[in-house]
Amino acid sequence: MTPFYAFDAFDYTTAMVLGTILGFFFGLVLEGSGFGKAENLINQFYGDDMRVFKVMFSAIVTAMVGMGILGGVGLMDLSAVSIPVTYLWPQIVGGLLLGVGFAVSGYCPGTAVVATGTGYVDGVMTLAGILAGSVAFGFVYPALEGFYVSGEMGNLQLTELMGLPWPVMALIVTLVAIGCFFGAEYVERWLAVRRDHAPPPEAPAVRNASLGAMVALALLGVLSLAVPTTTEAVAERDIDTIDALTLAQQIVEQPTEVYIVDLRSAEACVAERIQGALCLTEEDPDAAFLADMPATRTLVLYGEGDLVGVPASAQQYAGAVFALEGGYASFTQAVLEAPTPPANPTPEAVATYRLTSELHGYFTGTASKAPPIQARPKAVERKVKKGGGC
Amino acid sequence: MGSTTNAEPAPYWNPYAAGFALGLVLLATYVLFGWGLGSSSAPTRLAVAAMDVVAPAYTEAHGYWGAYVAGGENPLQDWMVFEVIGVFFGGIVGAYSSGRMQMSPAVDKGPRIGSGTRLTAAFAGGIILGFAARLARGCTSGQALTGGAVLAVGSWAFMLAVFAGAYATAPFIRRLWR
Amino acid sequence: MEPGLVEVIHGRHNPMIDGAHGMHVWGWEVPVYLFIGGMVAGATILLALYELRFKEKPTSLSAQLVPWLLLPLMGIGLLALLVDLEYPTHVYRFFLAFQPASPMSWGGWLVLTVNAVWVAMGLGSLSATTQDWVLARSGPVAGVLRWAFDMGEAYRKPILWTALAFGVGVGIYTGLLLGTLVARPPWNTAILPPLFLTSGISSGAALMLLMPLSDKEQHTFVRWDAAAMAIELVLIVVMVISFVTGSAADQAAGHVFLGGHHMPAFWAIVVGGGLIVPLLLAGFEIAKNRPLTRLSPVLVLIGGFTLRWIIVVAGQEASFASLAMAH
Repeated sequence: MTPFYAFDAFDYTTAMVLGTILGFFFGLVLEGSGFGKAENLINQFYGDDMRVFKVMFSAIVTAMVGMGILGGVGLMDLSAVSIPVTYLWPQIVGGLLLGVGFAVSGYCPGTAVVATGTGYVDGVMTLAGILAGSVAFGFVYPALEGFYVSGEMGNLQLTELMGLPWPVMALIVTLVAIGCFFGAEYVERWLAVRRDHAPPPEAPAVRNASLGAMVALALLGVLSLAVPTTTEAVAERDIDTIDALTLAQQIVEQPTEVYIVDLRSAEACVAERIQGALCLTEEDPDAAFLADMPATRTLVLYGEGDLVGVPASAQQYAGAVFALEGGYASFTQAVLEAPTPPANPTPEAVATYRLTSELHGYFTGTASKAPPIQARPKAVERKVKKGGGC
Repeated sequence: MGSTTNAEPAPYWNPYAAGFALGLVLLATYVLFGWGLGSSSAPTRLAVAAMDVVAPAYTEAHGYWGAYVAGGENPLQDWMVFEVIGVFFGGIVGAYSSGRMQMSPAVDKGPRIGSGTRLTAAFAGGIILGFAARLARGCTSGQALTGGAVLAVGSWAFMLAVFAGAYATAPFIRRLWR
Repeated sequence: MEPGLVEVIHGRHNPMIDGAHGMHVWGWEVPVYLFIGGMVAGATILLALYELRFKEKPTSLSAQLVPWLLLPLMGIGLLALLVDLEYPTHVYRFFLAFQPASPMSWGGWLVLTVNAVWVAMGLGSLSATTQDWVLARSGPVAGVLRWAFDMGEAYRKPILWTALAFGVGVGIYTGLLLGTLVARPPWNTAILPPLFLTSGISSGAALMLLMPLSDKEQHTFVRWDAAAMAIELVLIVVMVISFVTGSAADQAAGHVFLGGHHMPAFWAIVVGGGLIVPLLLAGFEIAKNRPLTRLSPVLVLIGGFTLRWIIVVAGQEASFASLAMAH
């Protein structure tokens, strides 16, 4: 079932490597479309060459109908697809501003990267500006914080707004887009005559083939609605367990590879907890923040003893999830209490004893208690999203 | 080192075919990961990484940037950073293979201005782009293309706003380009 | 070459006591040293091979001067290493003895003697015009220089073969060095010496391709660089496979390349940007006969440095000691 990553086909580091490969093709197509050169991009806004519009909407339509088909035949779980959250006002104002920046610089961030690779210094300067602008945003952020989260409408999609299923919406968008394409070409030709220069080169055969393919796929998508699919509910994740000794070693050796979350009550957690663990707060007793945490680390959950239930947000965590076998009690017994020397000193027993006493010394000896780390309530926007909304 | 210009750069792809290809790449991204393409997070994270080196305590405590470096995270260990590295490579290979690569650094500008003006405008425009992309939580790749493909309302609003903003600005800066 | 480090390495290496990540003894210094060492070795090999193969000296001024350039470059590498030492003044002790069984001892002498080889090579690289230019400006030492140039030309062939041998020696030494110092899984692999050698050759080629070369030199080096990169790709694949199918120690080493947080940088920057993209560009360059962009050698150099960086830095995060703890 796709999306593959959402169903644990591979981990985040593999995803990053695959991302480079996909980015490669993205850059290749952008360059092939001519978007590595500001002149081609800016011509859109003077009406001479509507290729920005044509490429962008063709891409949107293609991806949309593609997902419609895959979703319709049950090959893709559309509910597992990440939908950018709508924050209407900042997106509109940001969009207008981006349009201004686009016109002035001649690039947008992605095309500026391609232009840099093509050898245009103006692309490099645009990227430098983008860096500065991002920094500037951060400095201004405190003043904008309220506006930044205004107009929130959740993962609102046009399908909900119009009350139509995805493939139908996709077909409508396809037909509208094609109408706009022909309109755009008309405008191009009209302006070419008026301004007395050649219109952009046309290849009606290729155009018709591409657009025809899109319409065909859109129709297929609508047809696929008739195909009965067993709606496969997102499988309840099987949460693996990890034992206390392994967790203790992980904390010592690679603390930055794990998030440890204490699912006990806030008071118990603040009083004492596993070193480095995040506590739940009153505002977020169900650990809803887990769903949004970046998936670069393994998540380890623990309760007082064995975990009975796993919060729903942990189901949505994109990385690997483990539950601590035996919970805090097991950790206490294994590591926090002084180990007894083995009665029967076999090599394995001695090795284990050495290990546990070293861990015991680490956790209870000179290691000082870190101040309580409160988990952030969901209201604070976590900016660290993986792709999707840029 | 041989000639500095290319004999004949290949013609651009047909926009509809290119769009179709781009749509397939976008689709593949969604199929593989459940999210789509993007660009603007990468320069942001680069900036945050630089700031973390220069002023780590300030960055960690910052309301906006703190999230990127929370818990000792490296802001550059992110999918989009590596995707953008890929975009860079793709642009290079595409430009070189088609003969469109500029063998010595070039400046693409309108006929009426000099390179200096153009580069200043590029930088200024870039600042606006960077700021706006953060405000809108994305840019044309991330919000318009990616969000548009999944019919997100805010992304469509963003997309329309971008075109509106650009079309509105264009007449005032004709000198830059025409 | 590293007496100060010997004290540290032979000591305790207990993550419990010395810190959660073991002792990160080495930061950027050793990767810089290994990278520069590999690069200068590669350049030496390529220049010697060029002249031996084509039986003529390189014509461009850049290529003539490269052997001289390698001297300060290697100096920078050694400086980086000295910066890293606890007791840099004890370096001289290294040259008071020679232990035939110790690669570190071999390496120290190699790295010292190669400078003389470069001087000998450089003397003979200069074209007649360049030699005359130098002689005209050398005042009182012109006589000595004249003699030196003549010697360099007279013994050209033996000098070239010696240079070739030294280049290979230094290149392989950079791959051996890590393994002989500390027992860490990613460093104790037999693939590392040939990998570092081929990486050094491609870095050396990239260094020279950044300079203005004659058409023939550029033509040759692009192709030799492409060959080295192709071999390097194969070696990396072999290395990764050997890690994955090997013992627990090997798999811990493999973790550096197939999991963990250095993996994306390895595949994207070392393999993608440093090998695959330049190979694609070289392919187009050969097929369509375009001039090669300067960007390609830069990517190769970045990839080569990142390879050494990852192996050194990430290698320190996998130790046999930590494996023992994982029972």
